[in-house]
Amino acid sequence: MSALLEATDLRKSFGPTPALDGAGLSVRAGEVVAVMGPSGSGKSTLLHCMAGILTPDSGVVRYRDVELSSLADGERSELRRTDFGFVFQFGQLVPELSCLENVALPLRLGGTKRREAEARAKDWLDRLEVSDVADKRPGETSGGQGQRVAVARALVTGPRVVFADEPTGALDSLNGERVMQLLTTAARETNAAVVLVTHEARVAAYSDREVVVRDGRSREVEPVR
Amino acid sequence: MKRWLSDLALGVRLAIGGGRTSWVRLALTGAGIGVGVAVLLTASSVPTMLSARAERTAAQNGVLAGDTTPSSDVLYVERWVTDFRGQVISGDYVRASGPEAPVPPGASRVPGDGEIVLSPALASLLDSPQGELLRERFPQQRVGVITQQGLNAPHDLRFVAGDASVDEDAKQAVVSYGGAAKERTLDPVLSLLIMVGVVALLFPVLVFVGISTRLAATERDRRLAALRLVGAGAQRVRRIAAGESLLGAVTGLVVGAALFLTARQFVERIKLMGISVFVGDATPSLPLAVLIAVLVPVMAVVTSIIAMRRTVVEPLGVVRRSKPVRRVLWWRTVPVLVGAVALVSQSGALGGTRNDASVPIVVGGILSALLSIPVLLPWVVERAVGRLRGGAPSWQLAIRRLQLESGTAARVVGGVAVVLAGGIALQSVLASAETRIVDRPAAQTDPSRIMVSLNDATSEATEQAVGLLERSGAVDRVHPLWSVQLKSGEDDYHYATLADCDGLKTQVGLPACRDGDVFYVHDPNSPPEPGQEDIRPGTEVILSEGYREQERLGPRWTVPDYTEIARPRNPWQFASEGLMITPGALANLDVPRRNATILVQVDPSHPDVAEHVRNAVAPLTWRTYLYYYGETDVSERIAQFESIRQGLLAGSLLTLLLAGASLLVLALEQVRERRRPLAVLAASGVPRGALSRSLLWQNAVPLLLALVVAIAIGSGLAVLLLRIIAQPIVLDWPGMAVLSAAAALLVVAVTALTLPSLRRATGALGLRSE
Repeated sequence: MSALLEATDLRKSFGPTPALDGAGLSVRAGEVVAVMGPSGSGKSTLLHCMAGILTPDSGVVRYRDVELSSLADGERSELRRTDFGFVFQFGQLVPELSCLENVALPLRLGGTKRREAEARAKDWLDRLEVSDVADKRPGETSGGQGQRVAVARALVTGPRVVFADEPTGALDSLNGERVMQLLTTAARETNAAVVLVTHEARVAAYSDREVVVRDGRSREVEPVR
Repeated sequence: MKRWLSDLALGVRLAIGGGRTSWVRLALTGAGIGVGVAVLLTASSVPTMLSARAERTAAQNGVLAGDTTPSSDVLYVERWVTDFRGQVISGDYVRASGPEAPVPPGASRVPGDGEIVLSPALASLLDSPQGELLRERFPQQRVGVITQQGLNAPHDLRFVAGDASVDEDAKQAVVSYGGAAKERTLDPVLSLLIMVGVVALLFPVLVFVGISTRLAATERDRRLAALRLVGAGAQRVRRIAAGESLLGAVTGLVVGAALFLTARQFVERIKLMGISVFVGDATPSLPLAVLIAVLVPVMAVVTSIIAMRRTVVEPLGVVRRSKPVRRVLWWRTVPVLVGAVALVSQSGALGGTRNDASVPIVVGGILSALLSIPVLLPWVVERAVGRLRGGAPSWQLAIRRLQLESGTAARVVGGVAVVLAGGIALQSVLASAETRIVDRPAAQTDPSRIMVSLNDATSEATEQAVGLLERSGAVDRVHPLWSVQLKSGEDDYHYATLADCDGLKTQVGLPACRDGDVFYVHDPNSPPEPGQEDIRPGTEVILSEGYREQERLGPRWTVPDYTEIARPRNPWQFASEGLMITPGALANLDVPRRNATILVQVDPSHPDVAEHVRNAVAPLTWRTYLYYYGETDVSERIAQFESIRQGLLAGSLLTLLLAGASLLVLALEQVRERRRPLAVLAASGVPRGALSRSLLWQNAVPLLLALVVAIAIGSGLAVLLLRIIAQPIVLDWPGMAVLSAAAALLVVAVTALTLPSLRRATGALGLRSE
């Protein structure tokens, strides 16, 4: 099967500090790939470059045979709205909107009518077992509930790729497990690929395969089951 | 378009979605913009005020019959103007020739003989204890009130009285009321006050609008980044941010309109430089109101978009393009120099009369001078704090913080500084104008003399007036002075005064005088007009009542030898040049006596002496007018100035409070944004007192610098403005002290109000990052 998303020989520096030094990664449709590595190894930078959030200094990122760096800012924004979904450690929900409005937001930005967007958002909140916080603002929910709302928002548009950067980093182990179960199950049900950045082995255990990033370079490893 | 609207709507939703913080932010923005809108609406009402006033004035103008024969009934009118303790009272004595005579505007009917209708202000003055002395002048029966149509302003002291003794002079007969409107112009001092006031008030509001876009900036950045993450493009994010600003602007419009409508209800109580307006006149002109309603939101949106121009919102957060560059001075001095040059070039331009061409230059100069403050301050603050070193830890923390980023603090205190500078300039202009009023009587008056002029001074009328004055307890002596013309050729007239020695001594201060003496008064400083050369002894003249068309010739007389005396310098001894003749010099000639003034000597220690003299001749009403060269009662005008100054001070303090609100919001915001480092400092043993003091220094240092700049530019502006209106340079030091003290208090209050937030931030929970 050909790659849905592929990064080749990425290099990226922040000032004098190199973050990526020839890293690469290939993701197929529907698979869950864990990107692991110690702090500062460049794994988040690799995810941001693959999602089109950051532009690499050199190297290529292709999504469905289209080079992301050739897209204009508006096109990349549209891609994030339609084809990609994001779950970060924190900070990705809009604190002023209710959880339901947060989940409906990508649909509404895409032009879906409010009633329909909120109905679909409600479905996803139900699937992720957080329909009870639909009317609350993110600040009024627990960490685990907030992350499940974030997962619902990442999946509501039916993305082909979900980027998850330390999605359980701020959660206790029980909540972390539950979020990972829900995320991977929902992604598999919708045939969405997941690029999962983590430094925790038990989180990586939910993936189909693992890639280790160290000093800005990536290396595929066989998972230890 | 639909997408635009939907983005703006999302911005509005985000602006109010953050719970209490969002509402506080919205309230502050609404209040700031609201004050600005209220000022703009007031300014946009000025054209309506002037035109409504002009229309009423025109409607009050009587159309006289003149030489034509009126076809229907007419109203015979005599106008009378009198003073009461510095206030002018004017009105008409009227007599209708028949039932169809025109009714004076504002009255429901023509008052009959012995009846009177009064303006509400005059009625309330007469009914008040202060008006007791005035009642003698208006003994008529009140039969109504003059409505707005008959008045220029709510404080007008006006009356219309019926009087059967009004002459049936066809030339003075009013056939109807109404005429062309004449535009009323504002007093230059008042115009200047309005200009400085509006500019000084609007500046901090603009600064506040700017600051409001920085309120809760971290949270805004976070939510905008979150929007980018879920796929909103950069343009859409800008539109959403503009939607947030739009809500603040619309709230400001509503608050401003409410403030204006509330304040408008009290407008009739305000009297500024003798001008007051009716509630109905304080109506914004429709095109200007529409312009405000459109421009304010547009401005807010544009300001917000411009503020974001240097900001790049990315899915991972916000970056700012600005590089930490060292500020340069040269271009920052341009506004202050342009302002100074503009104002210096207009020195004396508004010295007495209105000069329309000067107004835009003066306004531009004021604007430019005040604009220079926020332009100069960032440089001043940066350079000043850059040189500061050492000190206690609290001082060091504050200074290091300011050295790192002083721009925002400088912008906020810039608003305070503009209010202070505007306030200082305004207070000084007023203080100078007040000094002029207070000082004038002491230098130019003689409180023991009053001049009563008679309109139609027949011997009988003069005798009646003299009799009335002599019977008044306030009068010491009465001297009638007759003026006659001496005709020496076809078109050659010389002015002469006929009076007894006592009268002439009082009038021109003669060294010695006996009945039969003649004096010649001349001005040693100016040569006589052509044709008005000295009339020499031996010249044969005809004594005449008037001259040219009005002349009524009397007997012939030969000018005898006379004593020449220089015209006295005291302005109250307003002797004209010409001959001063004692009755004995005219032997038994039948001298025409129709033009007389009566010189009245009074005891100045008698309270309200001028009012008693006015009351004494009040039975003669329009036939007399009284000039008092004594100390006019200026307490009313001084009180007026005092109330304006107090109002301005209150306005300045209120605007200062608004600037203080900006400062507070900024300080709270800084504590919020730096919650974690502050908590770390507290956790590592830095006492909270030191952190509080550091906050105090952080607020106080920029404000102190702003104060110095404000006093320098405010005083300079005051000096230049006073030169423009040709007033003595008087700086209002007490006013500056009050405003400076208020600014110092403000810093302490802002710091005190920040302390609870600091306590929360430095508590154990402050270390939590999520």
